[in-house]
Amino acid sequence: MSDPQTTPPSPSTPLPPGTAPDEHAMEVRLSKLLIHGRHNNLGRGGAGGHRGLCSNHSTDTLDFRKFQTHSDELNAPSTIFSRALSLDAPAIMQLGVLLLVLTPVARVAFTLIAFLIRRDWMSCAIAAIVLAVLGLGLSGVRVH
Amino acid sequence: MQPDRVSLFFRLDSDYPTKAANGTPTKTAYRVHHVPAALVIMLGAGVLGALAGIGSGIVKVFAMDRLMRLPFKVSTTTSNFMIGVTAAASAGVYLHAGQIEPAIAAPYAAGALGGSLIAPACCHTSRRYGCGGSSRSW
Repeated sequence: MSDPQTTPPSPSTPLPPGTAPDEHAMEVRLSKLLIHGRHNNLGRGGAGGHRGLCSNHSTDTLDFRKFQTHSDELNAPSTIFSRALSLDAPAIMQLGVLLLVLTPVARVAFTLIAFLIRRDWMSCAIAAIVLAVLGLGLSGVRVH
Repeated sequence: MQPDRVSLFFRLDSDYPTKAANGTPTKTAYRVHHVPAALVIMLGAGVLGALAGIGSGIVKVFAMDRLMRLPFKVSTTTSNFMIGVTAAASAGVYLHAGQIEPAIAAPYAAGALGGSLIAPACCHTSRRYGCGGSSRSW
């Protein structure tokens, strides 16, 4: 028997009464988005960690007794992507973390599209507000 | 109980998939109550989550289960979804502040994601052998 948590509902699964086929198809796509995002992020974090362990700094001892923020490195998506393309291990790990953060954002965006298709304008407005708040946080704009 | 005006306005009353006694899939309707009070608690849960770096799922599930009178299945799945959105909202701020250390965050995320793969298998195994309260609650 398939695992219901790791296996998305099959399109051939009998639908509960009152469920529209397109609604079920949308739910299947949403669940696949989350599952693929999870597997992708797990692999990316593991790849970055493996590369870090194989690097010359694998035996370095990390000292976090005094936490120092890294001001210009690995705090902007553009920097993370460019350094990950050059196979920098911390950047690859940070890319995995960034994509992990973006997975629920993608879910909200996909939900907004689903509400637009269904013409459910109130749910569209709520989803758009949530997406705007998420975008504000990810853009780095500071609200004082 | 009188229907909540706010839940009526936002059309929050809905149904969730269950199984009938003969095993056929069906839907069970539920009604949402005390939405304004729950919103205040959710606001506090969001602040707590951003400050302490936690998901505040226990606060959200408590609010949805006790205050909004949602079925437990609905409140837990809603909380699971909301934890990701709540964390994403604050994670972006911490990312731009340079306060996410990849050497800590990446193994933590990998472990948590790996655990999320193991837990359903354990739940499925307990359900197959008919042991554990969680196997019957669903």
